[in-house]
Amino acid sequence: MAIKENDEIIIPINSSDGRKYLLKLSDFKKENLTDELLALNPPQIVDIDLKLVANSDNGFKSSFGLLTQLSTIIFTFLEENNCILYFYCDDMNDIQRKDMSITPQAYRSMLFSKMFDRTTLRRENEYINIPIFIKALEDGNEREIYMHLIASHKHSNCLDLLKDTLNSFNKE
Amino acid sequence: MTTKPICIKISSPGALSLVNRLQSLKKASQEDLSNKKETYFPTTKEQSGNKRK
Repeated sequence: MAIKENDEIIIPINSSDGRKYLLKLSDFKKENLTDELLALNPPQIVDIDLKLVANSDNGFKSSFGLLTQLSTIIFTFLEENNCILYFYCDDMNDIQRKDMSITPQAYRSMLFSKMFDRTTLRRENEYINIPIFIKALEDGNEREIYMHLIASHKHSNCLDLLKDTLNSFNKE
Repeated sequence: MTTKPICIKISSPGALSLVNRLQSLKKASQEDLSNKKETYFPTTKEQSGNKRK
């Protein structure tokens, strides 16, 4: 499976508890990239999104089965395609979690890294997961944003540039 | 391998504009998936009628 420019793939997922999800893998348009990154002729960047769409009365709930299905799809895609995966942790919809003191997006980020580490344990560290935590202060309000970048080690130069670009904002 | 997280604080208009755009893209994507729900999980019509004896 591959994604053409400006195209997307949608995969329906049924979890064992009856919840239904849609997983979307879409081409991250190049017009959203910086000139410095484009100069490196980066591989395709693929945006991952997941939404609970049915049997959602009790909200999004992570489960071992769901995470296994997700990791299988995501890593099969990574193996078959020369790309960088981008995941913005949902901060609009709630998720069931024991510790309500952490935000839904922080919890999703933690789950994402756990899923990644469990999967890559059997893949001899072939891939890199970079968690990104942003505190954005705007008009006196602070909000937390969590993102992830995942790619093969061979794209570490692009990932480093992305990290540098993000870190440059830190001084502002 | 999960690397150490990149932790940044932003407040400048340029950086805020970038993250606001990313958040807007996420919101649009979530709405798009909501709209496609029926395509992938069509709702079956509930059977009507009183089944109680």
